[in-house]
Amino acid sequence: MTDPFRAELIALVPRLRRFALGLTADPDRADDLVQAGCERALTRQHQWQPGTRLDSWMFKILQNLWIDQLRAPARTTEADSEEIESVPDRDWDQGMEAKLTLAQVVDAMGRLPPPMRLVLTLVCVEGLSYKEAAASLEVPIGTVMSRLARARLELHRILHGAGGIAPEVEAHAQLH
Amino acid sequence: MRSFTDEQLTAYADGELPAVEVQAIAEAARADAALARRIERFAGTRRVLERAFAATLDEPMPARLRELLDPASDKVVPLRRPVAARAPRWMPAALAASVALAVGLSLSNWWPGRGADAVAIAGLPPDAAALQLALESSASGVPVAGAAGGVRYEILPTSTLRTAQGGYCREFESSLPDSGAQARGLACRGTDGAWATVAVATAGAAAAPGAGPDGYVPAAGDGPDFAAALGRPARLTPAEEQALISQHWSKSAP
Repeated sequence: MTDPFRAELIALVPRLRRFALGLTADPDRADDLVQAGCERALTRQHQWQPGTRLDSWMFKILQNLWIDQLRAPARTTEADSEEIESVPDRDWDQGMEAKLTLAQVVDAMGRLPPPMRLVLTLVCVEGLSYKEAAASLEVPIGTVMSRLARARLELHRILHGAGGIAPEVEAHAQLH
Repeated sequence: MRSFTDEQLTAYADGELPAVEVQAIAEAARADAALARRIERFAGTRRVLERAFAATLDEPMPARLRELLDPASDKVVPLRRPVAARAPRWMPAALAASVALAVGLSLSNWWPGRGADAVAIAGLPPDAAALQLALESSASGVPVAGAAGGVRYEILPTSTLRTAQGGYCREFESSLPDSGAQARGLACRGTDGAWATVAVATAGAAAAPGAGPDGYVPAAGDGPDFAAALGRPARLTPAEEQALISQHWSKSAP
């Protein structure tokens, strides 16, 4: 017999995997992250208040684990010099939009600095409101908005083949 | 011409702006193609992320996660039940049939609770302003997507009707992609400029099962014929509708 907490966690796994894929931009790392998050959740089950949202609680656990991984000295660099096929920057192409595969979009996400990836995943992938995203990131709503705006323009640029952004520009941006 | 910041346009694309600012941006974008293209960058990136990542939800649970979370189970369980392929079965929601029947009788009586008191209906966006805005300013056939309170919605006005009394009503469809809930409805514009939803039918995952009689199950799977409840309304052409939208539904127009 599965207890209610586990049952709710199991039901949440598809969204946790989606969330983790947005953060890590790597399917294997995403499942590693979900597994680590679920293990942590099971050991900290007593800290979760029944009746509150398990998804927010789990997203926060995954987010913190991921940030810890990014900060760990042993972390391998994700720098990926492979160039996306270059086409001139142009306006949003709805025909192209429908042809983009998950792998292409994940690849583009992987070219964004982690803070941009995080806010995009919270708001555009998981559908959190700005207020909820601000609470999860522990930053003011204004910061969410400006980070989101820049992240969207960068993602647009990458998807349209105008090249990645210079990693050093954002590498030191705060995660929290 | 007013200019808007990228932050404002992002919030606009995400359904996070107050209605008054939404209106200002929507109006400006109608007259300014460059602004409309800029908005589309923000809206388009969101659509791409939503659509691409949604594909992951249907993947089976990896074995290692299943073993961790549900060691008792030794069989592969699909995470999400496949959505039934058949056409949605439309059922009247809280406001439905009885209100719709009253529609033809008196315009002034069309004020079911709205705003904070309105009953939350499956398939309708949780933020009433979103529906108001779509009905007020989006042409039939042009969907309006956004998110309110973390809930994504899409509203599609489908037609505009002029009643025998000279009022305007619009049919619309609404869906919440995350829950799969869908609704079809009819709303009429009051003299105060607010759109009152006078009839709604819901379908999809969040609809209450067996909520009503079969009166709302359409033969063609096409949804209830709300317009019939209005007597014999005139269906407006796209040009007439566009003129009304651009004149804020003012009847002083020729």
